[in-house]
Amino acid sequence: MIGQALVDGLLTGGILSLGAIGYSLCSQILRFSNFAHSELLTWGAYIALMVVGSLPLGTPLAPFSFGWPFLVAVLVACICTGFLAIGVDALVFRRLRANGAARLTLVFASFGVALALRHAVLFFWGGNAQYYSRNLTMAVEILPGVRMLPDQIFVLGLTVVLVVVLHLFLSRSRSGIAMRAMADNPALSRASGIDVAAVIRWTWMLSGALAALAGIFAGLTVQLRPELGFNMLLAIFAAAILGGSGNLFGAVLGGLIVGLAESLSTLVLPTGYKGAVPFVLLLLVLSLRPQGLFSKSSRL
Amino acid sequence: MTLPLLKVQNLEAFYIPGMPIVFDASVKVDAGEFVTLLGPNGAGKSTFLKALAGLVPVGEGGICFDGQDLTGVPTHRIVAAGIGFVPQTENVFAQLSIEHNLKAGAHTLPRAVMNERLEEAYERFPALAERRNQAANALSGGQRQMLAIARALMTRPRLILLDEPTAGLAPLVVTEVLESLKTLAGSGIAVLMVEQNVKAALAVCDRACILVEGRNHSEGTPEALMADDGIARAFLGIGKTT
Amino acid sequence: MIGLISYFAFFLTVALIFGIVTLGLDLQWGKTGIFNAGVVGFYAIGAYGFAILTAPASPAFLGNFGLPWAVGIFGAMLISAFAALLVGLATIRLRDDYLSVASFGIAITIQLIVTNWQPMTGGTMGIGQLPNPTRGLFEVRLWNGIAYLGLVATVLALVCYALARMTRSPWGRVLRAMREDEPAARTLGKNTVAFRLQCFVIGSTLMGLGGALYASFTGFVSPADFLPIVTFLVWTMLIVGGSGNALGALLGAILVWGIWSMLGAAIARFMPVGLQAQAGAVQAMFIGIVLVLVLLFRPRGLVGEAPTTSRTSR
Repeated sequence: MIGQALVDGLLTGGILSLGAIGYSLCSQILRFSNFAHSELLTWGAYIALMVVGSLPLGTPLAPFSFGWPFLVAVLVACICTGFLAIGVDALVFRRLRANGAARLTLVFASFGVALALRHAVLFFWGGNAQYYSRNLTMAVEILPGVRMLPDQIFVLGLTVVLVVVLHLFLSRSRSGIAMRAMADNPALSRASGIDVAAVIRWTWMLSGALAALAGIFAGLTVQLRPELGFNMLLAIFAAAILGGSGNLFGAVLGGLIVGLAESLSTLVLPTGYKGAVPFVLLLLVLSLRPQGLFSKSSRL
Repeated sequence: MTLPLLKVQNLEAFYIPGMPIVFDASVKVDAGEFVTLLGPNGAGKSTFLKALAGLVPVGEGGICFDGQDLTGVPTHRIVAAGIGFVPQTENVFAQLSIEHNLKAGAHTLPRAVMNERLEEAYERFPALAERRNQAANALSGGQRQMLAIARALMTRPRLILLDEPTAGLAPLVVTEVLESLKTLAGSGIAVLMVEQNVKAALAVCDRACILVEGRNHSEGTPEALMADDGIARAFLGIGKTT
Repeated sequence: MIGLISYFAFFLTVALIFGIVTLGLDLQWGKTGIFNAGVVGFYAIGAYGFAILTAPASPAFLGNFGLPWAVGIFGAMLISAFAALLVGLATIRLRDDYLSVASFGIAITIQLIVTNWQPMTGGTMGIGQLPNPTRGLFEVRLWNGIAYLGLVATVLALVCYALARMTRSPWGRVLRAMREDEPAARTLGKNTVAFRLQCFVIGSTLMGLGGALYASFTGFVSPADFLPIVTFLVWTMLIVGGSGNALGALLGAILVWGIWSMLGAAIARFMPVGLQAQAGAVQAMFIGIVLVLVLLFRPRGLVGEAPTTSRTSR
């Protein structure tokens, strides 16, 4: 029982991590809590659905439930969601920043953007649950008493690879270092000659792509609904705040902790209450160590 | 007569439109010259420097650097043109390592060039080399200042702007920092710095400009300024008060 | 004719209840610049608090203490205050958007509890048979409705009076000073954190009061009445009416509730059944876009955000 809960928790945690990394990057660079981030997950998932629906039905790549069209859809969705994020910034947040808007104004705007984006999905695709494919796959017993679907193994594996790639990117590549510099100190970054507007665009692109992946993975392993992203928003906030600012692994660990906590809570609480676990964690972290568990500085 | 490297004329700068802090300030700096901006609090010295770096909006006036008009140009292009800026506070990337701090300063350069400059920086500041993987916020005040300067030097600027580089530093460290700036100037990099520590600044610079209430008041070599009784007493903290 | 008056009384009752909620939000945003992203949470706490305290006892329910109406109302306010205190204490000293995130969290959590804790909240079925002091007061149903409207209007008047007194008191003056220049207020020895917390708690208490009045009015509570969209609705009421004064909040509540009801009725009437969800989505999208547009093009329209520069400038 506990083994299964742990594995399920890792899976949820991995997906949350992807959402939290993107959110964390943006929130450290732009310095506000973006309530619309979770809608990027939803849009990414649904864009992939649209692409899968418009491509010819391929044969599934055994043992997974999906085929080549799905993989193409993932790529397209990541790019499109990245552009969606850049677009929203250009239309709304950048203008407010240029007028010297206070942080809460940006938060408020993100609230409105989230509402519009979420209901746009409802409008275009309807409210019923949807799936990438109807193919059934066999669960694999990876450990005694612990079973995972091949799709879930794929998601977990790909998440690990992505985190490693991201780490290399952020620590070795010049764009990655520029992003980290911006996250640390936007004013100094500007003074150092970093093209701040360009870095912000790239950050949205990356953040959108990661969000799309998180949404697609959630849609693949569970189902697609317009509330897909919204249902993860609180958990993403909790994961990012738990992880703290400063490095990628904070967000990853934050995501894993929240995912595991949610999953393990089902051993003692009815599953309906799972969604409240991130809130409890959030209050605990904010009361005890608001800069996050893994942050080296005391900056919030 | 060679043209000055930096020529700023009648600059007006403000944070809020309609409320200028700098009204009409002109400064020139020659290649390899070490110039200090002095003046009472609120004179607009920091604002002036930030305006040169493109961080504060400019109204009237012009900034000419090496023949190029840099008025109103965004900061990353000013840096690309050859000017480096070291702010007074929060002037290092606190959570990044020393090496990443330097790389951030050089991130527009091709990798090979960046590695070259990295080695140069470590030669110039051996204390940084020893600690290259430590986070910047673990450094002492003086070491942090060295890092801030080293970061600005990564793009090999021909002019480096510094806002109160000795603020909050112990006296021995103040001397160290200012001496290293003098060495820099000697190697051909022009230095324009704002300083409150008048005595220490006058001991190392070639020339000083005094700004008062956003306008030029006087300028000259340290000797000339100190010889002028009125100026010495009013701005340099020297001389008897009767 | 009677039907029209009855409908109008119904409409106005709900509008005034939302007016109370909006006044609570105004205290938080207009007076102290707190962005409460979980308004529906405190509203629901009030409603369910009232329900659990006053519903007639039943073997299926843990709560349902059958207490009198007034106890229910005050109890609901207390519980909302407590919830706000919990969230506020954890976050009021931190970054201002962390309070927003926490308030959002409480709304989500309340929704989960309300939907899942069946023995206490009735789950998706909710709790019914809630007391309404005007039910059965008169023989004609219409007069009961009007009586409740009068009750709500009285409560609203009391709230307005209390708020006005508070604003004119020394406490209110400190708030105004904080809005003008918080660091200055602090140097005068005023504990600005405490003031902000007080506003947050009092504002949330008003939201709970609204929830309790609503529960009493309809006679039942169920999760369907406390969805996230309510938070947006109340925010729109505040923005449309203009924050900073009671009249604005009330007008906003009546206007926005009117538009929302009309839109809802039009959708139900004119949209084919299959498209109703879509039309509802447009309704909500519209609100989201309106909120963003107001921020972009009427930045001063949202009171309390851009600091005004001191009048003594050269």
